[in-house]
Amino acid sequence: MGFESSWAKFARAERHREELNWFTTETFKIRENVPTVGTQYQVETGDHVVYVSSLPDYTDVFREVSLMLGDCVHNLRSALDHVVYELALEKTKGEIKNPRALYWPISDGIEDWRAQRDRKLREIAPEHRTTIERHQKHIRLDGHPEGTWDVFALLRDLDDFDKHRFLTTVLIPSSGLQDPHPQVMGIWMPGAFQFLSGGPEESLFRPIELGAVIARTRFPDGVRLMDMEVGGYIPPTICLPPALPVADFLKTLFARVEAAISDFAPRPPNHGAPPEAQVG
Amino acid sequence: MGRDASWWLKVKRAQKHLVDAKIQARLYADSQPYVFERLPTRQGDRQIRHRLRITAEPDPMLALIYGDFVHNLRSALDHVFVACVPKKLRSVSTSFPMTYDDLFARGADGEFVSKDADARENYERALRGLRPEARAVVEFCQAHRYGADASLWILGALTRGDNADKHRQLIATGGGLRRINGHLRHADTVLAELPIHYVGGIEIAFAHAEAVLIWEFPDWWVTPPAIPTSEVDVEYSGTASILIHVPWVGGNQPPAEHTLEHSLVSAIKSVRSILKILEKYVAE
Repeated sequence: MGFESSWAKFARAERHREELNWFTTETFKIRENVPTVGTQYQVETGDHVVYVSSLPDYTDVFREVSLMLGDCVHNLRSALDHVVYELALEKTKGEIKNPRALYWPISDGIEDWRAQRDRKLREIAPEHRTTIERHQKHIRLDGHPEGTWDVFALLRDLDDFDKHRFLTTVLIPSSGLQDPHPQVMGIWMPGAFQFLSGGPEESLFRPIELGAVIARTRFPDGVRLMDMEVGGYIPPTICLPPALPVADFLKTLFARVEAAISDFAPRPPNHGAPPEAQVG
Repeated sequence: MGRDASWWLKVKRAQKHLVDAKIQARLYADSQPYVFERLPTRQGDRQIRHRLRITAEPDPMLALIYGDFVHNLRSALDHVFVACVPKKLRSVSTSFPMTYDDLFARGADGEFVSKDADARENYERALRGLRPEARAVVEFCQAHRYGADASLWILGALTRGDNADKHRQLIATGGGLRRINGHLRHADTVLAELPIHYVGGIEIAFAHAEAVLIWEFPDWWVTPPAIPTSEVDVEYSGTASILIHVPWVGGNQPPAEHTLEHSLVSAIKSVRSILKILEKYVAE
């Protein structure tokens, strides 16, 4: 069997990621599923603002995303656990004593690693433990002291959480607008430049809320635009709280898991590719 | 509780995987991955024997789909279980337990028969905070209650399948034929249609790979018209079935095999029943 089963689990996770991407793309292609923005003049500040003027009910979207994401992380974590099982088969020549204790450890620090290593990697060869340790937080964050979270730790937490509760996701506004009215752009653009130059931004990286202001501009004295209820659309980005885009997280996570499995066996050619892309 | 409770949505997700698994199973069956090899006939033999051979295995993706199916059903049990425990009493251990040994059985000496004190403690920790009525339901579901048939108890099989899937690959193989039909032929002529599921005097619901199917001629056949046995043949057909192999994952449970079609349907039915009962005890 070799590490085929790990790569098979990895390929299955890829299917779930594709399904998730397809679902979100198709969902937000439909205009009724996209929040609208409007413009308003705020008398108290003298500012013109772009704000979220309608917000669809995303309950069902969040549920679907949770289910697909749950399957995706479950398969990725299993892919890692399968590696450990295969290594134990190799070390014990097929005579594993305690298969239920075999897991890919995901530790939060050096002490945690030592405890998990002694518990979960008991039937693994020392050189393989060393390789697995290279993927632990205490090693990976060496030289990266600013790093506060580990993508594997998030994988573990999401997988554990998904078994017992729904995974929580939120929507944050993406960085652009769809079909904006010129009036909206007139308010939006100065704010966008301000953001790009490191200035404050009120609503980016926060969950979309009805009425939330996403851009603000003060025009020269005497300029006052008409309020507008629907001046464009703001495509949302699905995120893990507080504001980690799911797509970005999965991209990093897949790369990390792929690297971890590849330390033991390269991915077989065409493995997991869609049937039409397979050769032979 | 409404159908949008998280445990029902996990079941819905499992149903999606069930549909995918059924599509794979149908593709496999449509490929007719079997042959019946005729075994030698002796002079005066009143029987025609065939051995069933499976010629192709299902797509390996099927086992992965099955893994997702059991995982979502198992999660559905955990989701409703957690909801049954008041928030302040929940812990990381709160989950629907499954035991294959009676951890609390006592021998004549009054001591626990099982010496696995850790397993007892884990079991109690998992159930902490659950109302007695709900606890009774969970205890009724434990695999050890089914004695020698524990490995056949579907919720036990579900948990084992989920554990196996996490650690090592479940394997799907061609497992034989069901819905067997046969035609007795001489050259291009059908002499007799064998009753469905009824071959050689024995009712057959399922034939394993390598099974030998026997067509035994009735008395009226042996007396005239008497075509030599070697000149007639039985053509069998059926629906190729799939077995899921669950490897040993520790404990006292040996490796097991389940028919895919049976385990898909019975697992989802059983989980639905348990959810309906347990959700009466969901804590506010």
